[in-house]
Amino acid sequence: MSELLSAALLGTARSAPSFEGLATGALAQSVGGDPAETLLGAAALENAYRDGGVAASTRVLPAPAEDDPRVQLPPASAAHLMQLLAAKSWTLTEWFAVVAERGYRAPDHLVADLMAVARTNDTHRESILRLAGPRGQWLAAQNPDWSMLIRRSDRTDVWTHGAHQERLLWLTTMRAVNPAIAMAELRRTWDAERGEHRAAFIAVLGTGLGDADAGLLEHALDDRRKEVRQQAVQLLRQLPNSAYAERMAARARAWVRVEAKPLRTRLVVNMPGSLDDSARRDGIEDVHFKNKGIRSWWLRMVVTAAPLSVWEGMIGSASSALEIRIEDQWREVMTEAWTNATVLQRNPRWASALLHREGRKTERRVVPIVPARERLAYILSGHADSYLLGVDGAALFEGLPHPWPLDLAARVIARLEDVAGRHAETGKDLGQFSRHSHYSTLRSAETHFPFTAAPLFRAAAERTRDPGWQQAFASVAANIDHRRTVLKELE
Amino acid sequence: MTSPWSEGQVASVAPDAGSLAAAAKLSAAWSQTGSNGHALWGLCQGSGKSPYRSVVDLSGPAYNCSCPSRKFPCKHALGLLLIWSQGRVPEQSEPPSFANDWLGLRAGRAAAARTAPPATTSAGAKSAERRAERVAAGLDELDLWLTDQIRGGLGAADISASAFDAVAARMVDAQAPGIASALRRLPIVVATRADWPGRLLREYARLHLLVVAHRRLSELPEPLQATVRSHVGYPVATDSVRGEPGIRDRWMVLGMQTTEEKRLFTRKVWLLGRDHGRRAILLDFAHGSAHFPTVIPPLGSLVDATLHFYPGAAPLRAQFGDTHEAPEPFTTVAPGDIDTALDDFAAAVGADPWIRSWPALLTGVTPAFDGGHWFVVDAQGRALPLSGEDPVLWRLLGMSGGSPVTVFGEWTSDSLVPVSVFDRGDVYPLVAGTPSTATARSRR
Repeated sequence: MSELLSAALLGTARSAPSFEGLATGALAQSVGGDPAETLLGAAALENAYRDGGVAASTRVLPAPAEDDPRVQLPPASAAHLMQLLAAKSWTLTEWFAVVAERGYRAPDHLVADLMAVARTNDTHRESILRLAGPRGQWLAAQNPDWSMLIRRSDRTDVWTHGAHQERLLWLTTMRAVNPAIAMAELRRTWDAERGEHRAAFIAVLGTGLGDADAGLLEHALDDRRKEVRQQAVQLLRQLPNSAYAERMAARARAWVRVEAKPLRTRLVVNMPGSLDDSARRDGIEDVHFKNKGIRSWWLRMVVTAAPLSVWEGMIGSASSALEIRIEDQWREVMTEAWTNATVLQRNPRWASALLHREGRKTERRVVPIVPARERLAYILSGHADSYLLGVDGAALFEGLPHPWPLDLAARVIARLEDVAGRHAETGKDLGQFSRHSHYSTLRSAETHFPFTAAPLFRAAAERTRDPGWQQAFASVAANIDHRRTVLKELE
Repeated sequence: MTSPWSEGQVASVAPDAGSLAAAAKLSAAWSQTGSNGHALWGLCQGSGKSPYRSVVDLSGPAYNCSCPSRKFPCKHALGLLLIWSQGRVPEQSEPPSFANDWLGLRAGRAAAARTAPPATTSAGAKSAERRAERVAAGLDELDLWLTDQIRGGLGAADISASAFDAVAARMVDAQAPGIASALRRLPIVVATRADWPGRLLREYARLHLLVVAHRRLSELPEPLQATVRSHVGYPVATDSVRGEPGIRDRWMVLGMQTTEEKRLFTRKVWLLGRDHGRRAILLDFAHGSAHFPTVIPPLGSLVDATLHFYPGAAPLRAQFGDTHEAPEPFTTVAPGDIDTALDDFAAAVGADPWIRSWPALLTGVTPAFDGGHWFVVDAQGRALPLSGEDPVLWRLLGMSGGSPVTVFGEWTSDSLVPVSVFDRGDVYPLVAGTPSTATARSRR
């Protein structure tokens, strides 16, 4: 065939085709016409001969995928899954939670499509991979495009031999799956890593952070690279049981004391004139803070990083600490630093005290740290009505047990009806009372309200005079029903 | 009267998964819905002031909606079907006026088609003669062009898309559309394949052989004449195919695929006769949307019916004639091995050298991806190369998980292009554009 092809490439005007190498060569000689026609005829003949004469080759089969003993997803759910993923449905989080609890596996015919989705879907990647199970992992091991989806903890060869980006990805993933393994691997190689790589790796440790990480972070305080030291301080401030926290506590006790005189107990601050090297090592820097002087900054750093238990020991409960009289010069710094410490240490006692004291003014980062039960009571008592639907209100709902209790849903619906009523008066499409302005609340309702809230929405739709809101209520009800349908299928 | 569809049936007419999900969300937006057993209608409140008017003619099915969506059927028509499948559309004897206009129009058109007079034969014969002359003249020109390319050398020839397009346009004028479309595929071959010179020579040889065969058409046996005519692109009247002797069998639907090119939708359905082992392909075309005039049994079902084959030396394309029993699911297929698949193809190429592919059923083969190449391997370790789009091949590999499955596909001269896969009594389509799970579910 190659002789025919080279003659065709060169042109029969310049080269005569040879038919000798052809299986059908003898017959080709008999094809009539000029050389070009003969060549085309011979090619047609040879092609047909070869097409009909193809034989099988031989191959060794690879090892099959590990068996997955879990139960297969019910067929209706499997059908809906791809639709939910395509529509990026808000129900998926809840759906995957039920799937994980019931221990379902994906049907085989969906595994490849699921892996393709897992590649681009950051939100549900781990859930999808869990559903796809060992067969998904078996596929991922064969497809170079899916190497990032391999989740086997024995794949430390990526960590020991991979390129920097692969290693970073491995560490990030492993931190989410098994923080201890990730830390052990990182600790093993830490001193041999390049400076910029250490900075990248330490930034990942925020995920799965725990007391076991304190050792490496303490070590990182002496790093040559500034980003590494700063990142270590950031993370250590979140660990109130560490040696770092203990040193900060000692500083706090040295600088701040309670002066107890009859009827006028107050907090007195006594700042040092200069910082020693150990304080600088712990990340306390000479920075002017809001024109209040360097010492305000030092105090802020120390109070932010000291365990909140220091103050409980010194003053009493969180709420009595927040009530104590403080010298004017330091009061604002102390309150801000306590708020920061509450957020960093995720301290529920202090968060509650702050919410009850500050009410609507409570910093948004603090609200979700208040225990869910207390937040619910707070909402149901009517204290939160004024900002239930506002942007800040979202912090109140964060991390509430799912689904939300019906009385909370009822309260939110009542507020929404109120807004709908005011919107009907304006007669405009947009504005602060429109359904568009409450998009995220409506979304939360679809996602988190109990199924029993759907009739409440339908009733609200019937009462509402504003057509836009009427439609919004009806569609939330329908979406809650849809959610119930897809979740029921999993049973 | 038509009983409400299952949700799976609704899913099977959805253009994509997103549309179906969007349709499900509309369930609260409906008003004035109704059904008379032949059609469905309803008003769907969207974001605008006036609601969309949606009508479904179940006999087609055909869809009509006042929304601006370019998907077909749109989410409103799907939504209407969904609430109907949930038993939420009330019976009504008379459609409201917004539905009646369109339904009336359709009924009128269908009646007109039934009563249209057949073309008179003498005029038909005369135009066929004229056509044959034009084709013959066109093919002579094509052969001149082909031999010129070979004489001057493929290395020096103009292989730009516009060069092929010019010849293709000439073939359209010469009423040889089959040849025109073969020529229009060549630029892709040149642009995407490293071995394009060999491919080009292959295609040129194929066309030259067709020209030679057409020149001696009257000397060829009758079936081969039909084969040549069909590759050139002579039209075949549907009625004349119905006139061919029918073959009754229990036909299994092994594969189904819908493709689109420039708004022309093509549906390909592969059948295998359970009792006599004959293969058949049903081809349907639709302009503008994937809405085909004929109704076919679902993938994975078996139907006792008579098929009429288009005449040819290696007949494959067919039409449904009478159906004797309603379709029912099948769960087993007769064994098929690599040798049989290759022998079938060799026999087909022997009869029709222009054939590009032939249906192949391989039971108990394991798909494998090895060193960047795809294969199916049988229990003896014998392998055939696989080709196709990446998602299709990964889907196939995921289905098997390294264990033997039954693969149905098309054997081209150098690889198997998988179409569907059978596993534990279920059949799954592999090709894109088919809602895989819906089809699998509608079987249960």
